[in-house]
Amino acid sequence: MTAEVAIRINEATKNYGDFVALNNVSLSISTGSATAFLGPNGAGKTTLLQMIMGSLSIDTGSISVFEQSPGSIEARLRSGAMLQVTGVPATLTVREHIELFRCYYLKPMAYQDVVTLARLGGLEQRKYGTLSGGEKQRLHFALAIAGDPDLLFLDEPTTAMDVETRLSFWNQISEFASKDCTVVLNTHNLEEAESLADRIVLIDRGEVVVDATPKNIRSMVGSSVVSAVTKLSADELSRLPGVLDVQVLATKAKLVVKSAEETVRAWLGMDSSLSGLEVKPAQLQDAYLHLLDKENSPCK
Amino acid sequence: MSATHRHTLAHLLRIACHESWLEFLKCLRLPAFSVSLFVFPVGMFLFFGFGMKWNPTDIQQTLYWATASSCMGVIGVGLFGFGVYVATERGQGWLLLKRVSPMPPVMYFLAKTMMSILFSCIVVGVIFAIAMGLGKVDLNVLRVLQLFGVLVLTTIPFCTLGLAIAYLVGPNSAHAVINVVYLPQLFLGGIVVPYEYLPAYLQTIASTLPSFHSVQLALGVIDSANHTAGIWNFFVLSCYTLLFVALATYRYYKDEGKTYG
Repeated sequence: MTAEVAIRINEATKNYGDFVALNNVSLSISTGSATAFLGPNGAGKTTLLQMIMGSLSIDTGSISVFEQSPGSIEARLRSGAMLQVTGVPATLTVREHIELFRCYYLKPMAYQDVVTLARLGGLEQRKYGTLSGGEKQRLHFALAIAGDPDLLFLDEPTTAMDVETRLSFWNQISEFASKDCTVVLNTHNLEEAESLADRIVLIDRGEVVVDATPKNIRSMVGSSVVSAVTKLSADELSRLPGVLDVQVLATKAKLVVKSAEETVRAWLGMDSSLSGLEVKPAQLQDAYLHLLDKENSPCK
Repeated sequence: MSATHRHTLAHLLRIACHESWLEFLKCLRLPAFSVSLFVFPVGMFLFFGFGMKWNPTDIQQTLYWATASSCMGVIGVGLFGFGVYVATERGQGWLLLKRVSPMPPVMYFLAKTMMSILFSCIVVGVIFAIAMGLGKVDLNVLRVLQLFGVLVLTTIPFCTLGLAIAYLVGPNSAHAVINVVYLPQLFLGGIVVPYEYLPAYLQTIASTLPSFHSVQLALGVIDSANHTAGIWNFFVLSCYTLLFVALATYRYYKDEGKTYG
C-alpha cells in the first residue's frame, strides 16, 4: 500500500530576473514523512519552501499540497508554519497569541495540549516581549501546531538556540511529528536534519543535488571530519583507510572519513608527531565539499 | 480532519472579532502609541477651544475646535495607528506568517480598521466629553451622535491612505512619508488653519485633500447652512478610499515572499 502524497512538485522553476532561484525541481513528499531541505544560503531552499506554502508564486511547473493549490485556504487550513519571524506583537500574552491562532482553524488542537507540547506551562500570562529567545521559539512552535495541522513547515527552527534548548526542542518537534504529521524542514544544520527527518533533499544553486535518507547521505559524505597538524602529504593522507576527502592547509590537514577510529589509528601509526587532533561529526559544508566536488576530489 | 476545508460565515465573524479585539489590546498596551494619538488632538482642542479667544467661523468656538481637533485625531489614528503599524509588521515578517496561516488576509486589514475605529471613538469621545463638560456646546444629543458617527467613519479613508503608503514605500521609509503626508493634511486641509483663512491658491490645493472633505463633512452636521456639499465630500472621500485600496491591493500581491528582514 502506498502512502498518500502530501506535496507534489513537478518541474518547478523560479527566476528573479536573470537569476535562477529554482531550476526544474521535481519531488513528491508522502504524508506522515519528515523531509529536510538542506543547502547553503542562496541555494533555493527557502524559495522552494515559500512556493510550497503559497507565499511565493511559481514561474513554470506546478505544485500541489493535498491536491490543492499551494496557499489555497484548503491547504492552509491543514498546515502550520514556524518561520523566522520578527515583530511578533510584544504586548500580547502567550495565551492570547495561541488562542488567536487556534481560532483560525476549523478543528484546532485543545489549548492545554498546545501548551503542553510546546512546553509553555507557567508562561501563559507572560507577554511576548518579556520572553527569552528560547521561549519565543517555543511560542512560534505553539502557533505552528495550534491548528493540529497535517503538515508542518519549519524554517530554521533552532537558529540561535543553545545546545540544550536545541536538543529539547528537537524532542518537542519529534513528539508532535509522531502523530502522523508531515514535516517539511528547512535547515543549514545536518545534525538537525538527521535528528528530525527521514529524508534529506540537498539543494544547491536551485537544483536538487541529492535526495536520500540521512543514513545514505552520511555514507556518501563520511561520518566524521578529522583534523590535525601532520607531516604527511595529501597523497599519503588520501591512502589512509576510510578517507573520502583531503584538504591540506600548510601543515594542518582536514580529512572527511567514514570511521574516525579506524583512520586515526592508522594516521598515528604513520605519523607519531601528529598533534592538535580534532574529531567532529561531518557538517553540511563537508557534505557539500564532497558531494559537489566529487569530480575534483583527490580520493576519486 | 474534516472533509470540508472551508471557513463558515460564523467562523469568519469569530476570527474578525478575535483579531480586532487583540489588535486593539495590542495597541492599547503600548503607551507610546495610545497616548501619542490623544496628546496632539486633545492639546489642540484645549489650546484653540479654550486657551485662545479666536472664533474663526460662525460656529460656536468650542464646538468648531472640538470638530476640527477630532478630525485631526481621526487622521492621526488612520495614518499612524494603521499605516505605520502595517508598514512595520510588513517589514518584520510577522505578516508573512499571517499570510501562510488560514486567516483570510482581509481579516488582518479588517482588524486593523476596527482597531482604528475604536481608537477614533475614544479620541472623539474624549474631546467631546471635555467640550460638553467644560464648554457650552449647544448641540442636541441626536446631532452629537450624528457628528460622532461621521467623525469616526472618516477614519476609514485615512486608514486606506496609511495602508497605501505602507505598501507603496519601503517599511523603513513609511513613517517619514506618513509624516510628510500628515502635516499638509492638517495645515492645508482646513483643520489647524480654517479653510476660510487660507489664501485662494491654497484653498484650491485644500479642496483636493481628503482631510478637507473629512472636516467639511463633519462641519456639515453642525452647520448645514454654510457647509452644503456633504454629498460631494462623501463622494470624494469614497473615491479616495477606493483608489487607496486599489493601490494597496496591487502592491500587496507584488509583495509576495518579501520580509525586508
